[in-house]
Amino acid sequence: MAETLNRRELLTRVPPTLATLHALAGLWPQRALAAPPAISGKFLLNVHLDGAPDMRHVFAPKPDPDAASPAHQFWKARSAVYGIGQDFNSWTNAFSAVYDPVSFSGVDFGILKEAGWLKRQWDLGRVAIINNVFVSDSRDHVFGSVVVQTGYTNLGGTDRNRDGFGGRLVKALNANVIGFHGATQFCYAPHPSDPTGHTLDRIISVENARRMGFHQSNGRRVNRVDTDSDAVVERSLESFYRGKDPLALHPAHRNFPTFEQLYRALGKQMTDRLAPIVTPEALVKLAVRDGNVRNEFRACYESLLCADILNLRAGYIFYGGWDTHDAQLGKIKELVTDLFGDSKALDSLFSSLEANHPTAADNMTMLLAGEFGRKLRANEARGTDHGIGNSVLVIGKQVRGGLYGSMFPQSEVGGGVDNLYGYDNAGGEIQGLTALEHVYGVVAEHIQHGIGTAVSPRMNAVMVERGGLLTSLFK
Amino acid sequence: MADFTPLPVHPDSLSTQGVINAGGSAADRTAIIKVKAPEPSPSLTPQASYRYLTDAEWNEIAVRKVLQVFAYGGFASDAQIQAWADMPPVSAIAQMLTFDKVNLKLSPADLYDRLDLVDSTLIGISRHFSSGASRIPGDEKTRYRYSTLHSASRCWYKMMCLRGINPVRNRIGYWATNYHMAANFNASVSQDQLYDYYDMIMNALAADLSFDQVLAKAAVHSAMAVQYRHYRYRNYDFGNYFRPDGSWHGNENFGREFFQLFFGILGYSKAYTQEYHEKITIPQMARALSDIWLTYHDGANAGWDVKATYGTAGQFKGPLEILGAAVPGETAVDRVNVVAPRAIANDESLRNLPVRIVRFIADENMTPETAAGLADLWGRLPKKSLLDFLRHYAISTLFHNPRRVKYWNTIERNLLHTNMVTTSNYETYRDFYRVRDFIEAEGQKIFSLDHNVFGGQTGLDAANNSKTFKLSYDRAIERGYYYMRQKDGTGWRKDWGALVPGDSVVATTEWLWKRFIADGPSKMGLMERYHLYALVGAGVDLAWYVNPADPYHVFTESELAAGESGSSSALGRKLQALRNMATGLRSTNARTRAAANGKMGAAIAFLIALPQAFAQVGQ
Repeated sequence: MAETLNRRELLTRVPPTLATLHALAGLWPQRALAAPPAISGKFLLNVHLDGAPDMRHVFAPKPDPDAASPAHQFWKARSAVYGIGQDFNSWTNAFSAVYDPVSFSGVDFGILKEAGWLKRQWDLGRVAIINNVFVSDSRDHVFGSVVVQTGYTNLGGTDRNRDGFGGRLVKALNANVIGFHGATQFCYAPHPSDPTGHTLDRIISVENARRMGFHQSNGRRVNRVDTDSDAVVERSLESFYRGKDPLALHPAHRNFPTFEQLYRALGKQMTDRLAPIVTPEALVKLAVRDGNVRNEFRACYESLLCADILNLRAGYIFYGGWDTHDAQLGKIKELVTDLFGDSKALDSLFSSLEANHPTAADNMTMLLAGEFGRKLRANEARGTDHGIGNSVLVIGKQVRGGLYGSMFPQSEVGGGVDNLYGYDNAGGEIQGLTALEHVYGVVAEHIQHGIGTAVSPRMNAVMVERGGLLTSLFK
Repeated sequence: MADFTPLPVHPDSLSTQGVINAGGSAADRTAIIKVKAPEPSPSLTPQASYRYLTDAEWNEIAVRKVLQVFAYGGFASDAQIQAWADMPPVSAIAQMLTFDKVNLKLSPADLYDRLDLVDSTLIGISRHFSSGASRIPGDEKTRYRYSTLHSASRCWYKMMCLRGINPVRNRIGYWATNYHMAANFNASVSQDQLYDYYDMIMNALAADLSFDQVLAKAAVHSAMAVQYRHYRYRNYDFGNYFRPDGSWHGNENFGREFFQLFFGILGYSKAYTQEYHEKITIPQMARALSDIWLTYHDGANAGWDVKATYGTAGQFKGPLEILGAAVPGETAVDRVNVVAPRAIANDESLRNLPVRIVRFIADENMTPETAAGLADLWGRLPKKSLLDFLRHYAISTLFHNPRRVKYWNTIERNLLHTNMVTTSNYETYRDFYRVRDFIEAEGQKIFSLDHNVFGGQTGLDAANNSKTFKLSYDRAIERGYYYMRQKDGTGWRKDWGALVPGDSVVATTEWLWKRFIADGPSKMGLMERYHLYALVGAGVDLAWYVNPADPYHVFTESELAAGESGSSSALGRKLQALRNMATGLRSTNARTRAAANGKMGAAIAFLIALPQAFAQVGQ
């Protein structure tokens, strides 16, 4: 068995039996290289915008004096967000103050000024904004989060244990997914026999890539074998975990031998690989409000330097805090600054890779999505409440930038209170017109041709705003 | 304490009791109902199928499993645990699960400090800990003072590990304030508010108010007003209120989450459509929650009011329509008190609320059948008493079945293990086992919630996160010596010998297994068993004990089985010698006893890093 499977397969595909455990010890070569090898294939970085971001705060239409235009209705319905009056001049002034104007195929809109890096990427043609994406109509954060991570928009209310988009993707690639925020549902791989379940086979949690090895007893650190208490406990645990057949454990306990094996197998290699490499200051000292975000982006960079060791093809970053309902613009500006701003998270990651590991930058596609959208109208607390449709971002050098789907649909204007997706209805929402499965399937197909339907089985059966919408999403 | 009578169960059908038509005229509803929303549930309704344990099924392991889940082990003696096991389950559970501040059977008073005589509400214990009367070391007392930052969390961790205080009450307080009715420091809820919120909820539960009344009180508390930002403050332009011209000023955040998180109502009722829920119930609930006032106080104790006031000027005038019925009232409190009993009787709440409760507390491997059983049980309760529900659940096959898995989150696992290793309050006051430090090293803090209103780290979050495992594993090696401490220079001595059932290595190991894992010795594999024998008996690892020249030998189950059956082999003789060893815990020689207690510590360090220590499986 050991001769016919590659090392990673041995770790991920085969239940870690005694035979494989023993075999691993001899098969895993040391790969401490001065410089990391080029990443072997395309890489997906999924950034989960947790909390249902109102992307229309990030991308707003240029005000239009025509009362029948969506842009006019937008500013009329949302002037409270900006703390301004209901007149065109106020809207124009606010637009100029808050947004950098851009135009695409006759759609004039602005990108929040705080999103300096995003604007530059847009100008370089690397940002695709996919509009009116349907994730969930539950308006329930928890359920919506399950859907956005699994990519199944047809889940039942109690059906929350399924495999994730990232897990299916790396299964199709025979690779692994890294959870930079722990092993979240996005990373769950399909269960071999239970369609409602999942496995953790293909997940590696990396929150500090430089500390992937286990703590060593004082004796072992100097190659001394002794009976000091730390060494006794260390050897007991190591012997137990290496010798225990996980299948002899209850399924609820089987994760842990797998984790042990993973750290034992990978820890030293990663430590050795990264030891001579200096992580760029831009990431080490990344100035963002949430220290966990800094750690996640740093771990992402360092993991990409170990992509060959990890057999890495996908990663998951959690970026929360979007669930706000009042005084919303200020909070969203903070979040946008830290994520999309100049010298902030994405900029630091991307520029560090371009400088030091360009193949990783070339091969990386970033997918940013939240669990549902927001209402069309602002509430009176200067925020927006839960809705349905939203925009999803796909960013990368291989992305063909532009707008996919109507950014500000004319159908949102008029129709009276009966128009559930119009400004006239007090509870009007953005209509979900393109199901998330389709987006995920197209992205998977880009990561590797031929796997789209394996990763997102309903990608061609779900609703899409118009035929061929995403055909040219990638170059 | 009186027994309670278990409710009957109908194993073949779901309860239909309590399904209400939420009221309002059909014409009113259809005016805004366009399409009946599909229910997000499987087409086949799972059948409830459960029963209560018989006296024969209710045994020591069943008792220990309940104590782990509901009391993080508790502090009951082995004799008390056996006494409960010998009682009919209905009698035992009534003694085990209470929400009173003191439960002397579960948490006997320690003569060292007699906390059973102290007010052990969260704020009461803060006053006590920070006072001269407490056993908290003098230089640490200020850390527990009400006004000191993080004192609430310090008090809670300490309280959970001390004899004389009821751990069930505070375990449920943790669930209530960190999960079901989550209040998050990171969302600007103040510590003052948290103290009050926690005690208000637990006092209400201890008074056995119907759960809807508890939820109603929580819903209008200042902590929730800050959490969801629907409070008024001078002319500050957020918060829910009506202007004098009648125009609405507010957001719908808690109008939605009140139903979803508190009651499990998402709009998939038999009585109305999701559209109705979205367009009528949620917006109007937001309006019902209007004119809740908080004032900010400057100065030394700067912060928002702990006690909200409820205005009328900014409230909607006239009835609102919520859940299909008119909701009259002058203030937010009036309106919530009208809505809450209807919400808890709502068909969707009857299905979902018990599942929400149990998922966080006891079962993260919920099957549709279990969910149906929980709904059946909840539906049969004539009064929606949380305590009554948990007692029924804890002696039913809904809890005692091998499909149930309780993955321990970081806080739970560390508290459980700390409680099991602690044998006196003195050890807790000296902080020998560093429970708070360990929890925070894993990135968790009580009242600072990973998922904000959806609660803190779940057990599944922890179980799926290899980093959490690694930190625990590393700590067993790096900090295992904490558990091996035998004395501290003041005359204190660790004395496992006073607790263990005898001096035999085998009996002691099996006792440790039951104490920490809450499972029977038959569930202990040969590898677990012999690694522990070596540590408890010889004080070294098994490989070293068998052959010091091969200290990294990896034993397998089959190798040990062969050795055990072939006592003439070298390995067989070694294994037999281990089985025949005495621990020395009851030796008359002080040095032998001290060494034996150290060996117990090494065994515990090993034990709590085993796979079985990360999740409890039902039986």
